[in-house]
Amino acid sequence: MLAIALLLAGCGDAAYAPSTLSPQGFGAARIADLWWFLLALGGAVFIAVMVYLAIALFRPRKPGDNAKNQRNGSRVILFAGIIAPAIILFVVFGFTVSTLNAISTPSISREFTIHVVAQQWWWEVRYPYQQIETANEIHIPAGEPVRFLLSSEDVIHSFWVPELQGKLDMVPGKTHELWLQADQPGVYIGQCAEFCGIQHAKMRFIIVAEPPEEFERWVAEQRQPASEPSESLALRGQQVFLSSTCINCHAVAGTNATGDLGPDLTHLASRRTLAAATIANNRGNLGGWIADPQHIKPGAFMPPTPLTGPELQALLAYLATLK
Amino acid sequence: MTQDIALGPSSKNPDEHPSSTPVPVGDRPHTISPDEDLNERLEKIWADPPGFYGWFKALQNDALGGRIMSTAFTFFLIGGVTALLMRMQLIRPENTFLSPQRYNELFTMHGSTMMYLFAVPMLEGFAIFLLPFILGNREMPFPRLGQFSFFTFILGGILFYSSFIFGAVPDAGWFAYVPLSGPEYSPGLPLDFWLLGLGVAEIAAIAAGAEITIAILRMRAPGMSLVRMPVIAWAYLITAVAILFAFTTLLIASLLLELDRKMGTQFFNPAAGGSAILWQHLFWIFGHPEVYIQFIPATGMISMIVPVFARHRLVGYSYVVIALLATGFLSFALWVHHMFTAGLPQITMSFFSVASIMIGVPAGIQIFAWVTTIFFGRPVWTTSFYFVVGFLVTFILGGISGIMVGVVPFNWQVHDSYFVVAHFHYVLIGGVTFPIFAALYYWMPLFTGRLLNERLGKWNFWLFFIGFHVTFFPMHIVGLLGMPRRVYTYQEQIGWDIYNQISTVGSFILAIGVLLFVINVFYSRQRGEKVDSNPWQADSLEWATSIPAPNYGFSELPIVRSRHPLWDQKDVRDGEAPLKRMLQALSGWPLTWRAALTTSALEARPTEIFRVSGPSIWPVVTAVGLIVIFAAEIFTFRILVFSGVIGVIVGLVGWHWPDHIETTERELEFEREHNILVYPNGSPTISRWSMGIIVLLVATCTAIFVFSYFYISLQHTVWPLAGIERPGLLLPAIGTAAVLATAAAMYWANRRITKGDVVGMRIGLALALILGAVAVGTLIYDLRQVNFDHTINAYGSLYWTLTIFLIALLLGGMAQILFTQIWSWFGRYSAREHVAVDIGGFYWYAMILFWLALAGTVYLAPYTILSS
Amino acid sequence: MTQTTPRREPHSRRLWFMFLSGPVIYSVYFLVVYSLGEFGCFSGLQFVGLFGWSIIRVGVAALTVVAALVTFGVGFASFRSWRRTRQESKEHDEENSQFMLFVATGLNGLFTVITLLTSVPMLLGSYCQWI
Repeated sequence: MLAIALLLAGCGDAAYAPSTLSPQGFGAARIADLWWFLLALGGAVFIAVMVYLAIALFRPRKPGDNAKNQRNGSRVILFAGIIAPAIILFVVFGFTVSTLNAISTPSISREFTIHVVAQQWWWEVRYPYQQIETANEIHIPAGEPVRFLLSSEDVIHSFWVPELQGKLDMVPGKTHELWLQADQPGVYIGQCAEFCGIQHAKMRFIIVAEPPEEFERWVAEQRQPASEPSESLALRGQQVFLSSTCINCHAVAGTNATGDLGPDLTHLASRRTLAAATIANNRGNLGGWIADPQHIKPGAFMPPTPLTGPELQALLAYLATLK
Repeated sequence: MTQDIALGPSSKNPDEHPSSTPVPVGDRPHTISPDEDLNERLEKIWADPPGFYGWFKALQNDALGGRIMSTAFTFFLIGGVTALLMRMQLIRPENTFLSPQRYNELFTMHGSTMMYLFAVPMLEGFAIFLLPFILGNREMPFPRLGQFSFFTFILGGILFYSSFIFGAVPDAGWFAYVPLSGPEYSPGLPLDFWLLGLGVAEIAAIAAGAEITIAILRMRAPGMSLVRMPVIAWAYLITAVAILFAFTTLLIASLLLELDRKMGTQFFNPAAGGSAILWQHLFWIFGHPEVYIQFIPATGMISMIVPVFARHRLVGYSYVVIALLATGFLSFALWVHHMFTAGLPQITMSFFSVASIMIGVPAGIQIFAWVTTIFFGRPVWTTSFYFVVGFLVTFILGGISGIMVGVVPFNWQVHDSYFVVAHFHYVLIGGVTFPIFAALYYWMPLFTGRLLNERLGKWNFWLFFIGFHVTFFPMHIVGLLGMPRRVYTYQEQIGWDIYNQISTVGSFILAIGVLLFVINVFYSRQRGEKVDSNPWQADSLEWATSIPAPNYGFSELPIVRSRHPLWDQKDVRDGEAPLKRMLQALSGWPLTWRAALTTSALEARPTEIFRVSGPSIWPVVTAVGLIVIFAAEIFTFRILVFSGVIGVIVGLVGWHWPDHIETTERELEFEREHNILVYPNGSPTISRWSMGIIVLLVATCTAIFVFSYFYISLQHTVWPLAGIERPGLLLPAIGTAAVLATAAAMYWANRRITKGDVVGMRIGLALALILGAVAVGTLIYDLRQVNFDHTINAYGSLYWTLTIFLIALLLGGMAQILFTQIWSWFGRYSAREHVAVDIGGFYWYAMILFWLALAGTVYLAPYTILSS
Repeated sequence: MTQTTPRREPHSRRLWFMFLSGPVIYSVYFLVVYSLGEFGCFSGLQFVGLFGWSIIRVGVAALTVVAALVTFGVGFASFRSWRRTRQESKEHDEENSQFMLFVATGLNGLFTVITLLTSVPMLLGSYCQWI
């Protein structure tokens, strides 16, 4: 029953779930193998015990002698209740250790590090070698292991991309290391897995795995400072932006917006999502988010920004230029 | 119940009266005297005082056990409602039925209620009600402690829930991870309600744990040697000891967090040298055994019920005892498996992975013992037995998924996902709640004198069973599909909707099942079939008395000669002639005080007849004082805290004030005649054991403090932090000498009084008091002269907290000496009765070790830790 | 008073020792080995070598050998005593001591196996690493 349900869930799926059962990277793949092994073994054990229970409950009865029953029963317990489980569990443990060993020593082709700093309730992403700073959207080259350094600015969070690798907590005062690989190009959903406050549910991110050359192009684009807007509407929007409270928290490289409490907006328009992968990044959503973030993500630290209609339109035009 | 029982005498146990037939239904129980007048007099001594005021003073085990169980069950219903509200919210994606804040509050309340206010108190309530009957004695060893435990539990629960009134509902989960629960990220009252409200309930649990341990070890029916002890007694013994260790750890952890929140210490603040992971260690050192604290007694209940309804002796009793002991110990070697994703070294995780996986072996033993017993027996399909079968099916699934999550790499994927939610509900509902329902159907006649309705019961079972699996099975799948725990909503188009909808539907079926049980209880109280003895033809002693159980338990205590006394013994009063004579004499004397029996731990030979304490209001005063302290501290209202402290002290003094009975010639005559010690002023054995437990609790606290110290200090390369000087060694050297001398003075005082020299004893006590004061003085002087305070960083916090804890330990011991001194002037002590001096000495011998551990850590550790 | 202390059961101390030694020794062993792993990895002990192995590995190995030998030894002794008492008491009820020796045998055996298993992860290549 479980297997059928899982197969159904794994295959023809209109909706897209970040399933641990459709692994796309070496870590998740090894763990998925481990899971199918555990499921088969556990299923066999469960069926065997249930058959024994059914026989015990419904077999025809003959009066028995207690002493003989005790002797035979003890033998059943010794073999089926101690020795058999011990052997099975020994095998399980062997598989555990070998998987642990395999996952923890990836074959490294080149040193490539991404530093992710979690905060309530979004992800700051830094590429120290490339000197890129972005948020909630992590680009990686497909087909090679990537080293993540995970830390937290405030409370404990947990970094989890179910299709690629097991999770690892992000603990304030510590830096943890996680290796992760996406075999194929694609977009993978990640999320915070440790309860971290009111908006824990909407603390998501995406990993965009790209072929190496596309990834290099993305890196080159991200290294650029924000382009100066040329359109008049966008120019007005820039003024709105720089004279509003936005700059207390957000930075746009090349302007005097240098706030660092919220995500860096230098390349906002190049991102696919907003509000920590809560909504798609399009003009309507962005406008709604700026006007009333508390409606979309109650409790988030971004306050509503009181703007007139034209001001908002101008601001949106400006933000659209931040490619 | 008309099936006959194919038992056959156990061949190795040819009783003098081998019998394959049980005590016939309706027959008057042997242990109740036919002499109505005697029974009435016994009832008068043992009954609780009447009236409204009497309700507070009540301390009978049946009354208290019943109250604790009904309170716990009420919390279960409240916890269930919070779960239904959460399921409503999750029925569709992006639902707005609950606000995120409300949802977070509800899952916090749900987890905390079920873990702290339902499962553990429920099982302790069972223990307090049932154990004296199952063990064949008249009372628990400390009825007043039971009374205290009930009032702290219910008041703590009310304090916890009053957070709704103040609009400050805890919202950081039942595990309250720091820093989220710390002063910076959870300002205001909610977390204080969580820490302090539940803190009171934890004290209640520890009190009950102490009482249960001693009852099982030293207050069994004569002849109930370890090998004849019912499995449930083994289970409760192991659980109670685990409670002592586990809940003490939680209490210390809560204390440290509350100090961080209210006093500005830095234990869990990484920015000031503290550690966020330390909280997780402390919490799970408690939290994992906590699960087994619930599970082990539940399996004990199953081991009682299976043989009765299978009509066959439990197969592999010894194996089951092995399994229980192994589970109890292993449960303390599992805690890190809740922290596999916390970034610990692989080697640490693997150690814990071994234990997490290997705990499958004892589980396997028990399962095969039960199923094999059923195999050889003839099942009687009562509702209770239905729940047993439901338990087997559900728990085995939960056990298998438990092994899975013990596998480190797999755990990395499913940790904090709905897979884990499914797993632990399979274990906690399957492994604990199903047995509790089985037990309620089974023991209800003993509580109320009436059976629960079987027809309603079957409906109850099927709705509960089906509802449970419909609710929780899909959670495995949705967890594997990536749904994390503790999210108030989820996206559309992510493929989780259908599973959540199924779960929500299931949860309502389950709730109807529970509702039917409640209806059944009320219905059966009025209309249930009345029974007067042993309705299930069971084998254990609780069914040997009249139903509903009388306050005095048994007029004549039973003599146990078999593991299944009611199946093997024709008359449970029969036994060795002198023993039988003594117990017969005991049923008619003393009729002026509450007499109970202590027995030896291994063979259960009678050792003492002693007076169990009677009704008193002081335990209630103590409990109320305690609740005032905790409630006032939530609001940082220190004057009220102080008055609460006064209340506790007054309560404790009143509680333990000896209401002296002169030992008369009658007692001595009984001693001579029956060759047993008689103590009308309390049992020395029980006093010593209780001091042993206090020492154990203090030792646990000490170990936790020392662990915390080293855990934090070893994270740093420089220690002490921030250029603080290493502590001086002269003062601690003086203090060490003073503590050693105090213990010596206590030893001397005890020697003198053993010889009847009251004056010598008083001199010894006075010396001990002075020397203790010197030790306290060195510590206080040291704290006054250091140039840092507890808020400076984690080093300062540890230094101050450990030292103050040590001062508190010394002051506690000195208070005991002081009261012993005072009572000695009332002429309380003689060569025969001087247990207060005896146990005071014991405390101070242990104090040497506490001193060495704590002072050694505070003063010497900075010298040993490498500074690089 | 005609009787001062109740009669002590024969060999009760030895029985209790055998009864509890398996789990208690395991608990102590586990705590020490855990501390060695956790605190050793904190403070960089894995780089301190002894006989070509790091001090953590040597420590875990040595402790495992000692703990396993002791539990196994006590278990074996309990087993032999148990067999003896069983033959002696064929005619009677199962004696308390016989039961305790049986439980002692089982517990010591079980915990010997668990102790040995606990040392296996020491063979991991990268034991101080996480994921």
